Amino acid sequence: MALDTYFRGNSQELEFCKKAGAGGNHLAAVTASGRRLAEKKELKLRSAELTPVLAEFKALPDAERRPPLEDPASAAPPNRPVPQPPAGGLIIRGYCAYTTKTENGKAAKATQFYYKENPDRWAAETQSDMLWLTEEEWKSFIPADAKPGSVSEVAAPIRERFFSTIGIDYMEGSVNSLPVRNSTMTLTVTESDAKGVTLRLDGYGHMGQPFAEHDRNKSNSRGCEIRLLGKIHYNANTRRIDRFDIAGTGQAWGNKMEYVRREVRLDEYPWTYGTACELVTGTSAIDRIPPYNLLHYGSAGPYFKKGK
Amino acid sequence: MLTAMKLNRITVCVVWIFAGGSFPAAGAEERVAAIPESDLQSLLETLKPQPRESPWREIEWVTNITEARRRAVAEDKPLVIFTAADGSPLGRT
Repeated sequence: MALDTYFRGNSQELEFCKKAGAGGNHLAAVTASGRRLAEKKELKLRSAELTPVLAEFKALPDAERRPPLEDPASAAPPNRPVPQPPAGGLIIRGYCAYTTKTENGKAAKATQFYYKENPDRWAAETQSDMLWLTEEEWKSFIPADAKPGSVSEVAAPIRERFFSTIGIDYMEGSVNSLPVRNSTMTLTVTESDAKGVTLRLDGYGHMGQPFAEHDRNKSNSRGCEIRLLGKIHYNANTRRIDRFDIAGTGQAWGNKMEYVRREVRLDEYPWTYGTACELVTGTSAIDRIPPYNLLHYGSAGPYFKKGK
Repeated sequence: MLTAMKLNRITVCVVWIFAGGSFPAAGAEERVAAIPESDLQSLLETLKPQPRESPWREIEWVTNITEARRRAVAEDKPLVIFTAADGSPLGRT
């Protein structure tokens, strides 16, 4: 079970979390009643740590392993319900990674480490975040008269949501959104027939502070620029978008340590990063994780703004 | 003394300003080069997580506590709870 502990659920679920000690950033093993297992050990998702947990669990009496559960109907509703994707909307997963260049000048994923001087350093993994679009928003991508070559600008609220949230470098995890200083995002119809419409997306965004070498360690100096290229396909039979692929390459700068404690110290300045986006179905729990900046600790104001 | 070339430059500049032109906004210069269309697919594949990069992502996580507890009882299994305090551990955190 994966849990954002700001959203622990209804009264029964909250009580379970308290009993299980499920809070903060960690892993815990428990029974369905909330009894802790391997309480004094640091748990990791490795068989070396999990095998003894299973043995401890199996040694418990049946009543402990399979306790009667409360009737969910008697629970008080959550104070803070988990936001759900908009009905009929699109769920896009974005990935963020540091990049480097190959000998032929192409972007490649860079291997970086948290605390690289530390012998116990660990590799920085590709990060991910979500982008939600309402039905009205994604439908605005499809021109009424979709002739090859026709060009349209993506509405400002969508453009700014993209660039400020999943268009930035968020490799250090919980970094807030950056305001968009300047951006473009255009859609060009490349193919249109009875089966559907194919669009090419071109975009460029300037976020946060402009680049200045001497501001490297100043607070509030974070900034980045990213260029986007994408392909979107609208399926006329299903009347849904069935492809939403966007790739971006960018540069980022400023005080990386402003919001976070996990450090990836980069030699290159400004450093380079990239983003890749794909459509997900929304059928699994991991697909329905709310976008980071939709939540109350987002900093870009309302997530779904209106306007053209 | 103004040369003919300088006068031409001034004229062009004056005409441009009266025609409503504006200098690019500060910071509007683009630092990042264009992405060739032929690179789109390889770039997408490069930037997404690589096989075995994050095996924990391949677990079918449950995010609803009531559902997880019900399944733990039905399947006679313990629960592993993966928590984060500033975002879902499955997202940006």
